[in-house]
Amino acid sequence: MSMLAMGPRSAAIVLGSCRFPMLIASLKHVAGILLRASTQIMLDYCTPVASKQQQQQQQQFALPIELLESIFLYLDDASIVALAACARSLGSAICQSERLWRHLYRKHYGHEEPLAGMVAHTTTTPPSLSAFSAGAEGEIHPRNGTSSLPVAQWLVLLRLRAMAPSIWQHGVAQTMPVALPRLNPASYAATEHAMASTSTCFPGELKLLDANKHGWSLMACTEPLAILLLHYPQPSLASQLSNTDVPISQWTSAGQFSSLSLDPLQLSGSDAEKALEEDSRLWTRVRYAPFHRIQGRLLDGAYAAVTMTAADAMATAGQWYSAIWVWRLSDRKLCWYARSLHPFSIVAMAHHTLLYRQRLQLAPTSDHAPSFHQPYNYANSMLTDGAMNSANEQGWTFILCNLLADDLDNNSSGSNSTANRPRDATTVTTGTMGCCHLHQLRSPSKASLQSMAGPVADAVVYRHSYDPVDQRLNWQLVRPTAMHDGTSTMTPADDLRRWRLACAGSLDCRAADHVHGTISTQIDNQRVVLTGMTRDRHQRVTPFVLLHSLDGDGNNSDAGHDSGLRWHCTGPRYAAQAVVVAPNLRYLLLHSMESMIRVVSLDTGEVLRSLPGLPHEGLPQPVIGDLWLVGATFHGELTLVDTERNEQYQHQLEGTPSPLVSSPSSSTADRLSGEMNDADAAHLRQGRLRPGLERQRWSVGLIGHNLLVCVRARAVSVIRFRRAAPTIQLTAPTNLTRRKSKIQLPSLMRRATISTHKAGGHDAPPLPEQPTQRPLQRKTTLLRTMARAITTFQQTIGQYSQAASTSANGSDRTK
Amino acid sequence: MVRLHSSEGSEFEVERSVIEKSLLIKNMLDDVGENDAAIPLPNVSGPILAKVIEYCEHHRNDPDVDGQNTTKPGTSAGASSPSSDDIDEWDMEFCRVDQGTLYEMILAANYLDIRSMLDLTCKTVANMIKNKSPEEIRRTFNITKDFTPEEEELVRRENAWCEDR
Repeated sequence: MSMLAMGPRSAAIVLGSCRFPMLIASLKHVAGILLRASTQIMLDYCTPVASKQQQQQQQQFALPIELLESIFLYLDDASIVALAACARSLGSAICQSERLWRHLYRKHYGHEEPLAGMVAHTTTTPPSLSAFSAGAEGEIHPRNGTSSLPVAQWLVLLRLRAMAPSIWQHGVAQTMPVALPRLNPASYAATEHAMASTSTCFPGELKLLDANKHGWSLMACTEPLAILLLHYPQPSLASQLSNTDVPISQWTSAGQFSSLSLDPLQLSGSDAEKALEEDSRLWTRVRYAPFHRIQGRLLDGAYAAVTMTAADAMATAGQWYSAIWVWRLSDRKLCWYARSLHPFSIVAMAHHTLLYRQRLQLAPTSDHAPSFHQPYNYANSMLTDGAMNSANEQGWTFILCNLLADDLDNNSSGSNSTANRPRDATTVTTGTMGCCHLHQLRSPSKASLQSMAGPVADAVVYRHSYDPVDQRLNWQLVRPTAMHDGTSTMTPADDLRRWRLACAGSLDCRAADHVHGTISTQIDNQRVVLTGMTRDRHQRVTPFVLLHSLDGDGNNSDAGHDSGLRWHCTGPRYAAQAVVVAPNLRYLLLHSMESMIRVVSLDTGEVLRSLPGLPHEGLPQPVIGDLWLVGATFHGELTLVDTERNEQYQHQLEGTPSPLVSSPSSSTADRLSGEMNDADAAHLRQGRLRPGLERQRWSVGLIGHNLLVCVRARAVSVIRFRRAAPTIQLTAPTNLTRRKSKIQLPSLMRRATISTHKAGGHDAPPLPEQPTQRPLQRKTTLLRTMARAITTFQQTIGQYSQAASTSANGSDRTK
Repeated sequence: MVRLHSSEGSEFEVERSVIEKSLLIKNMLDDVGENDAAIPLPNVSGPILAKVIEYCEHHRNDPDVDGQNTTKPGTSAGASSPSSDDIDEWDMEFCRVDQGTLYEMILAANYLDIRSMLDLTCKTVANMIKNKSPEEIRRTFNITKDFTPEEEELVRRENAWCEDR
């Protein structure tokens, strides 16, 4: 019988009754057992999981769900998500515990009330997920007030939220360059730039026009003019884009990328469209200049629309032309093209409809009669772009284009390429003090929950205009009958009632002589935000933002009262050149002229926070939760802001700032990777650029939950953000403090706390990197320590044994 | 002194001030008053009760920490969880037991309503889960994967973007 099996008391008795040599033998025996035990531990580390599982069937993770909840209290969200992914039984146990989810929600938000907010965050996620979330929302907000929270998708939502800090704020970036498709030099051969145009090097630059979270990004090569569509396939999302499958054979594959060239000449349709083809050829000759303008927009994965305005398009020097192309991505078909002297500008795309606008010179006698006699040129283009200049007597014409009906093939007869207007288009001309917005309507069940999560069921146009006589802001549904003939199923009476929308209304705006620069932004099925500037008779300009409802129950179509007005705020902080609605529908982001981002409550209109944006960057893009992608600085620092925490995060995209390009004509790919000279580096360190150097632009777009597309000069890359591996730091115990084992993530993001209340809340110094120790290293260290202890123990036993035998010999001699 | 009977009938004698860390026993003693009868604890085995007594004796002078981990209202999304790092050396050593014993300790702490011990044992389990991938968690806790191949593929795809390190 082994001594270890006897228990401590029995062993002591045995040892006590032993003669001395027996004690030595017993100790040797114990040492042997310990050695075997340590060997077993070592073997255990190396034993395959399966056999280990077979050996330890008795140890199962079998805590009741009530106690799991106690454990979750100490777990970060990522660990809960990982735990749920371990086994179906565990995952479903986690998902089905209402108490648990209430607890988790309360842990995050401090209260249970706005559960819908969490769901609404998923409007930035794939459509199927959003739709499901909207369904889940219905369970959260039942009519009787009792809620039934947990569904499996809460786990999905938790995963989406949980990963944001660990990926975007503390994560590491992996850059994957993208091989560009071979551009078509044939269409470019007639120009003097042909020599420079090869498959690998072209004189123009790439510009990112748009990107969406479904993996699509739209970009333009400026010279030769080509539109490129890149799609980064994400397996989990691919199935949700079934209606936009582009035949693989049509694509040029480059690594994981599929790229599709939407060169206007290639996609000009049939040969019969000679005029169009000629136009396309002319457009490919355009030599891009910095003041040429290219705009682009993706509609989910269904359409891509691009506009370009250039001076030398039609080989008439000095004359500016503008063109608009719309491609259907499923078959790469060009479904809409138009050219005009008046620049096009895309306003919105939804539900197979495109709303674009053109600026035109209004005849002095009529406020609504468009006049195309005044050509657009660079001089008057500088006057207004977004804001109207009433002195110039210009107005906008907004055109709603039916992308399904206005196929070029169907509409080619009798059309001329310079005024190729959609057959069923609704044209709305606003005066100098008006604007239109495309009002996207979601299904009634979701609309009642004020969710923007569902798919667009219909789209109509509302016009907003200011009447200086009555000093009222009027809004009006535009020509529903015409739209009924087109894509919309809406009829003026029945469907308006179904959608609970009013046809018209007006808001009091006294003390304003003029209202200009208005932007209307839809919040949900009913609510609309209007921003702009009022100018009184003393020429004092005051920015304003107001939220009003188009609700048919609260508005009288005969006008005259302001029952639809929710709030109206004025002041310099409300100046906005663009407005974005947060996916959770709780706040607006106002993007001001001075690049400030202001967070405005949708409930009260109060400015909650002000965060610095980036100059020359477009609208912030919602990443996840309250995290927004602002853009990239000239030096390639990715910038994100957290509107809830009031913090800004920056991440250097490629480690060190890249060399600058001296001029477009002399730049080559080699030049881009060349060394910076000391003077450039010194300027960069000081945050300035040496005069005469063209700034190298970085533009980034979000193409997935953790994916960015980055375009810089002639290079395209995909950047994947991943969680950083955790590191263990053991702090040495002191007399006063307890020993703690800290788990820290290496902070690769430079984090700056922005305080709106006190000055100097700028960048904090980067945190020092912690020494890393991998799990395998830890195991090895443990084994080494154990081996060292066993060796020491054996040596001690050996010495003791030697001393004992010497002593025994001595005693024998004495005897 | 208070006498406690474990589930197998083993008897333990412990000072009242020590065992009153357990709210269950404290309430029981308050209700019944002090007498010689042993308190039966049918849900706690002898070895686990010994551990509980060991814990209570060590922490007999600790102040009550009820509600220390309640979530602060108004914490924002993504706010960090209560820390599981603040485990002192004795407690860490105390929880260095096999997983089966640890779970029994959690259940016992929950049954006896010893909040600080429940927190400690839960923190220990949480530390074993933290920063591990699902595969590592399975290995650590010997969890049998019961996904069908299709489900496993789906879970893998859904989690790929966030588990990628």
